[in-house]
Amino acid sequence: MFYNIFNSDTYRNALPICAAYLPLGLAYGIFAQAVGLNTIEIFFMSLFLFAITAQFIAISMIASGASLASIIVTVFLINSRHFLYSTTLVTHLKNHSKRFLSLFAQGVVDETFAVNLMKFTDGSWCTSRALGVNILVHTTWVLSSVIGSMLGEFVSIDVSVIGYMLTAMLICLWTYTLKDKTFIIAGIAGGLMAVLLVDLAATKANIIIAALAAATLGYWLNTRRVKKYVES
Amino acid sequence: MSSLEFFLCIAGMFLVTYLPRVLPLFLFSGGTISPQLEAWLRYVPPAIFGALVCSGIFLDGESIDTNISNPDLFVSLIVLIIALKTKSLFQSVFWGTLIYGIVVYFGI
Repeated sequence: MFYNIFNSDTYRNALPICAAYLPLGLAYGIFAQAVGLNTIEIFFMSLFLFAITAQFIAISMIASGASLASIIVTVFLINSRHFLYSTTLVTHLKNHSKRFLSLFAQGVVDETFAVNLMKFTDGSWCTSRALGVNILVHTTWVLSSVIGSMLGEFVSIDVSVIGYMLTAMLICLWTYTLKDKTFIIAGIAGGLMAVLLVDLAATKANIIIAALAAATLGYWLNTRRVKKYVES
Repeated sequence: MSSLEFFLCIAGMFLVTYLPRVLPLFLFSGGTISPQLEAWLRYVPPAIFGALVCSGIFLDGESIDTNISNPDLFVSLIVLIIALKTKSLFQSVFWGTLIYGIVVYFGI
């Protein structure tokens, strides 16, 4: 099950994500070092968490002296969306060992999820390549944040431009998911609700609530469409 | 934050991050998911990415920024067109970041 994880197909699909994760990781490492974390702490945090937004927010909260409980609850709310990603991917991951699944799970983030799901849906993908993409992106994240932490002593950066990379990446991944009108409506509804729920933005609970509501809207539109089709 | 506190913090953050990732794989990989749930799950990706993108563009901390001069809004429209035309993650990120950098630094 573990052989043949990396081949040209894996690299081709992981590379664009890694290219964006590299500067993001450097920026994260520099930022975390500036807040007072050392290289070893930064290494373990990137290895165990592997979640860009959650890590940036956790670091800011640590810097502002937030309580342990509030940091952990916030990280949970931000990362709860991974539950939906894994649930969506599971139909493509049947008949695998616990060892494979526990390794795969650690690499589930927005970008690897979107790319792997797209490739699985195309029918041009297999689980070992998907694991390969997860591992390459995770490795890039860990290494670049460690390098960033070492650079942090010498440079300071403006995170706004690098931060925009994440938005640009998400916009492109969003377009991959917009397959027809109902998907576009669900997508726009999710965006609109996330903005309107601005009062919950501090904990990022707006993202998950908006996503659940908008997915339900898309599902409802689809069932209505199917019903109309059956009736006609 | 002391090293013990930091250790507890990492351990706690790891648990609440890893469990949502791994539990669905362990719980559902043996059986089948109901067709209704599967149909609903197909709408999760556009909904989540829509929420992530729009909060990235329009939310600045805990306030809404719908100002037309918001550089995120202007550049994101360009990135959206590039993404729809090229379907390339690399091109979207490359051009998006470049244009954003120019807009921010030169105050266009």
